[in-house]
Amino acid sequence: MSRVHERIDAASLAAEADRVTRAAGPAAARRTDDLYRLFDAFAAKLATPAFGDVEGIAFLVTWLRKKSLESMVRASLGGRAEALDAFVADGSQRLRAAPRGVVAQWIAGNIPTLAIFSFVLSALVKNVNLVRVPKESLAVVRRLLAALEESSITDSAGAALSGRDLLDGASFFYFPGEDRALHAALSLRADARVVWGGQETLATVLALPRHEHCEDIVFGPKFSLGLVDAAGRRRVAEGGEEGAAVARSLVRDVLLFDQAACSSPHILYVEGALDDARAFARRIANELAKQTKRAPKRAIAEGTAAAILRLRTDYGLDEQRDVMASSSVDYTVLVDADGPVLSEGVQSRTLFVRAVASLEDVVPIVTPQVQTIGMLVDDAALAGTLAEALARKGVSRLVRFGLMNVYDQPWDGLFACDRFVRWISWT
Amino acid sequence: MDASTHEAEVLTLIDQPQFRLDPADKERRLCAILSAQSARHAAAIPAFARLVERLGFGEGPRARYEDVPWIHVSAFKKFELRSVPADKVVRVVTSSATTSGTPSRIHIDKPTSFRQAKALAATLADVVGKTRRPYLVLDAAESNAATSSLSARGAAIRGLLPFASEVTYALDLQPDGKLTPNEARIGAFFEKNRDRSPLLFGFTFIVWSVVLDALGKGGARFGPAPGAMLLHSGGWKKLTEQAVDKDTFAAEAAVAFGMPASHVLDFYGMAEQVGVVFVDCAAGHKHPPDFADVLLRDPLTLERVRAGEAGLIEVLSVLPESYPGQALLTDDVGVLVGEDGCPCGRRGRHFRIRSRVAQAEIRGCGDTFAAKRVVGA
Repeated sequence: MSRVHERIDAASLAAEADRVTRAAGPAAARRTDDLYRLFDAFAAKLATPAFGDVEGIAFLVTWLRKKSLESMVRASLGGRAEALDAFVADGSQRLRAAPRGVVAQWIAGNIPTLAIFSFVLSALVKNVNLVRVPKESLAVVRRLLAALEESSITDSAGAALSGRDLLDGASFFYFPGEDRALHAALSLRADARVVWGGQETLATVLALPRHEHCEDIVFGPKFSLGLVDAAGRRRVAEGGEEGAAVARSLVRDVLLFDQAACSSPHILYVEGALDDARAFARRIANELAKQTKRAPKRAIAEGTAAAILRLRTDYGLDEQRDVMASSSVDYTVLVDADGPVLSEGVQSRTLFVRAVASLEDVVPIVTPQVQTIGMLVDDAALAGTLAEALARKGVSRLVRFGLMNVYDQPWDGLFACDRFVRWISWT
Repeated sequence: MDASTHEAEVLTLIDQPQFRLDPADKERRLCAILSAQSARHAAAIPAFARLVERLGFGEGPRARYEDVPWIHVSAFKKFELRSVPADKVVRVVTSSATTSGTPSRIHIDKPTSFRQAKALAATLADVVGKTRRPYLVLDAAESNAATSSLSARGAAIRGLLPFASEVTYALDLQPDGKLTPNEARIGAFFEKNRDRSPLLFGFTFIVWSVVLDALGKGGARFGPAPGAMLLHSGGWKKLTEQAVDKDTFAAEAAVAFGMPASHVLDFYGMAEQVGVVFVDCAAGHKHPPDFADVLLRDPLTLERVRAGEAGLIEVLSVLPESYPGQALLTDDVGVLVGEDGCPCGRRGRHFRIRSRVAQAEIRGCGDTFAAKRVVGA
């Protein structure tokens, strides 16, 4: 049975919400370890060539493994993961992490697998879920849920537990963004609301009526970039094995999700002069050429292509800039010495490499919208100074290149699993 | 190709009867000229040489349109791209700057200006015939003022003068900068010329928003002038926003001026390539003249699209000598109808304009860095 409703209406949404709510009891009674093992079985189903065409599937498979989920939940709940299954002693009191109940989710359209990440995090701590999936992700979500339905384990009580059982407590559906009545109906069924999206989605959802007890978990519009100090830049530019490995990792960050993720890098600030940035960019462009040959782009919006071609012309003509690009629009590296300024991300494998005199000059331009900063800063003292300063500016994640799109915890400044539960004390 | 052979070949392409070339032969002939011109521009303009080198166009010669070094048309808004000394520039053509607010500046020398005038006349003669006609400009005389700088509107108005037996300007420029139709003057023009197959020209948005809007409100109608022809160009972006399509425009104009809607002809052209226009044929297709062509590039591969497919429009022209306008990539999208076989009988590639490219939308949570926005405000 398909669990994805392509165009849900008010009556069907109400019926689905009733169905999901009825499943809240059985969901809350499940053992966390069983859920880890069920998702691990799901990961095994996805780790086949049949899903090879799904953008980001390799990472989803790794992320769904028992060890990965366990470690994430443990970190999120401050080492009190056992509280998901029973009251646990904590000093003079006992603590229990109970599900919030019905979690309504608004999923963004930039990452096709995002609905699964968001659902799993919530379901793992035993919530039931109403998930509005963007139209463009419906097909992928349907395929992935079919694999989940077919996944099964024998639970700790010796009974069969399948993805089908889990999905009794979930509904995935689409309705048009402008249907305010359905947005409101969804919001009013929620004990917690999760919103992934841009400005417009946030404004819509946060203005909806909701119950007083309803918790909001917001993953709003974000932008990500990279910092490379002089030593790191030299390592890459010189092209040794170590530098080549960094370039490979960096390019993987650029390629994954076609640069549409909130964690995708758009600008790299490189310590040095224009020629230094150029030498660094050349290595990155070579690596982009290699990796895009293996994974060529399959589609591009006309507007994005036009924006890229405008930039290629501008950077191609300008004496103080440079451009390295494929003959198609597979990738574009735009080099400049415009100093510590931000540029809007173009996406679609388009990377600005911007020379700056000092990475510390970049700190003042960082806004709370900057989520992830990929760092290749060999100077440990400088890395420490930058990390402190960037943390104060509102940045959420500082990672090595290659890890920018790794969906770990905390994310956007919060531990999602922690927000998906209610903490109960018993003294 | 040496300079004199090159010049002779360009003039041949302009002077010969238009729209009769075999497409493959045309591409071969144009590529030979375009390659030589690109090399000259690269030698004269360091910025253009940089672009050719950086984007890997190589030295040439090029046998395919795809390989001719292109420039995005927006570059003329930001860079002074001139391949002749400043004292050889006889005119600077400026674009209307509707989208960006910054006009393009195109530097024209005497040979280029000469070619542009001849080329435009050659193309339009195929559409409007060689007999001079009374010419009603649906604009103000000020748009065609004689200065060293010429707007795109002025250039287009001027381009039709060789077909005019007399010229009347239909609009008045008010002190506040607004254009208003002078109904008495338009009425007198039609009274005198309705049976002399008058030729009308105006910018699409001005014709719609100034002329037809005012006439509609006042109920004024002119004609009937069954032999009249209205050529119009530009400004579709604003009309599309108002949900006005080509057929609606033609129907309204036909009623206002008492002419058949089939005599209302849209043409595609740009300030950056004066002299090259693509006028609708009777089948509603646009045909490149012999000295120019279009390349519709697939937005992903940048290779040419097949018949029935849409692509980014690149206009190729052998006319410009004073600026690198050989291959201008635009933000317009066209659909290739085919190569040869148009019912109108013209040979070669023919296409339709579909739209401007939609502005790229950043989807989902991978968004802007701007921090000043307020949710729920």
